Amino acid sequence: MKTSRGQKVVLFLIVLFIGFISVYPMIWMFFSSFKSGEQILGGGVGLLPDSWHPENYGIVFERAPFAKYFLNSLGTTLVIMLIQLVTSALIAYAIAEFKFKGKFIVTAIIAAMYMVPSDITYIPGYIILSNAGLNDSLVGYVLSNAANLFMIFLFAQGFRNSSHSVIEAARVDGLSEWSILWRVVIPMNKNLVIIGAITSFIANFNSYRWPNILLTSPDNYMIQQGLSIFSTSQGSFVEMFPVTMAASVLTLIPCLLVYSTLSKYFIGTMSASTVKG
Amino acid sequence: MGVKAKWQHVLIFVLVPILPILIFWLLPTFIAFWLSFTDWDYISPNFDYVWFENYVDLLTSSQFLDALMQTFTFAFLTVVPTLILSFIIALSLSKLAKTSSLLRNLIFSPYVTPTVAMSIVFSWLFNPNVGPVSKIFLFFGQEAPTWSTQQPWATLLITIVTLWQTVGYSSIFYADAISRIPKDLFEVADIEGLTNWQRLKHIYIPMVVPTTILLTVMQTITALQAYEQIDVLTQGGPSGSTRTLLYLYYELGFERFDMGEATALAMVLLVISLLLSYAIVRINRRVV
Repeated sequence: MKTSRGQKVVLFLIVLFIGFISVYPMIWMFFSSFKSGEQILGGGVGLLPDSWHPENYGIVFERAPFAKYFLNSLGTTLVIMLIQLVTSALIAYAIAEFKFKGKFIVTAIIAAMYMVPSDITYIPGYIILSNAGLNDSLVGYVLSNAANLFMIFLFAQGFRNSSHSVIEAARVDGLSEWSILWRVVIPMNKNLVIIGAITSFIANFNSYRWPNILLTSPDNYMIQQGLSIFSTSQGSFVEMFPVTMAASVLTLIPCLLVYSTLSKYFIGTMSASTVKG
Repeated sequence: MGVKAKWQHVLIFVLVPILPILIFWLLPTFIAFWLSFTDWDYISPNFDYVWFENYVDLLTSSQFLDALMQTFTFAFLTVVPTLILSFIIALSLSKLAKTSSLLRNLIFSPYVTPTVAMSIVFSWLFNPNVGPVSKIFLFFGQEAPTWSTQQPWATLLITIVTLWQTVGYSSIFYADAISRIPKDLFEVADIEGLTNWQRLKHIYIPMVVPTTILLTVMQTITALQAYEQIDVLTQGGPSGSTRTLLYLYYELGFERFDMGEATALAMVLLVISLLLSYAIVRINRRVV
């Protein structure tokens, strides 16, 4: 017995409805960011703006150093992503390929820390960075994010399942372990590297709690901090709501862009790698 | 397994990358444990050892017990709809192979959005005066509630934001589980002439039980780590009724500067997380 055409239509409508709910807040935010304060005050709840006000975006940049926040977030996110890819690849390769003293302890520490909620580490992390003079510093922020435990697991599992004969052949050819990792193993695991990169990008660009503890001067704010403060200071006025929406749109764009360009790598492998982690 | 590493290899491949884990994960965990026995106030350099006082104060405070209850209530409120909705999405998409790619991406997309920004958006979507949701209430002749200041609306609002962000992500796990159901089960079902309802009851639901358990634990962890939506929408209110354990941790630490009690609470969170992680490991062992 197969699913009939009628049943398929019903299923399609269900999924369509859920898809609609999934994107509606984003669409509503986008259109609202072009509305006028008067339309909001007049109770105009319609989806589309009565008249278009792209200058709302200009007001965002006038009222708060949003360009600075944006660059702070984008810059640190990219640097952190690169560092995490390198550190994760190195240690995952060591776990998958090497025998060395203390290997058990190293893997045990990584596995144990994976279970520790990161919030626990923030108060002491702040103390450690303060003692090094790196509190309220983007360098300190980047350094504290130099390791990504999820990525290490993701890579270690992928590397372990990589074709061993290719790696052996590269060794026989006299390639150094360093070259084998970057020229043989990484290209074989391209999909995992992309997933690691996307998840790292999204997590760091969207992160709020840790930067909010560590980075206290407005010059160093990440974009989510900037948005939160902007929303509490300006957004309490109803007529400022379209401007707050404009600011929110700005914080959403990078992750949506990254996701929509690379989504085909993402969904299929994400569950497979997490479930059997 | 593997080749014997030279010392240079150990230095570059192991010691360099493990340093940030030691400095920013392992050491902080021990420092937090140590701080939980002190009365440090975050600002002054002086502190005294109070040993188990923080733990006694915390575990006997009504605030902690309330937050513990609210955390698990919130977890329960998000777990059940997540399971039902993500299962429906995954099952429907599995039947709609051709049209599903774009829809699948749309349904997943909330997961990549920043919680701070989306919570702000939801605060306006649900605004009693100008939000579109208030129009739905008006349509039914009701006055829209002021969501963030009255119960049960405040808890409901936080639950809705959380569900909106995670249901699509959870459905991937069910989609994966459904695609792994052996095809011959369906052949048997064809021969036996099972109805769709019987297939659901005897094939789909029992075959995805491990995923259901896994998602239950994962969603509980998500609830345990929820913070931004609470901070933006209710600040733990009205009168502390949406304050979860993590929210209380930040309040104790950064509003009351009671680092001893905050880190004592951190240790409670650690124990709960370890139990949940242990559950995940056990489930995975059974699945694979």
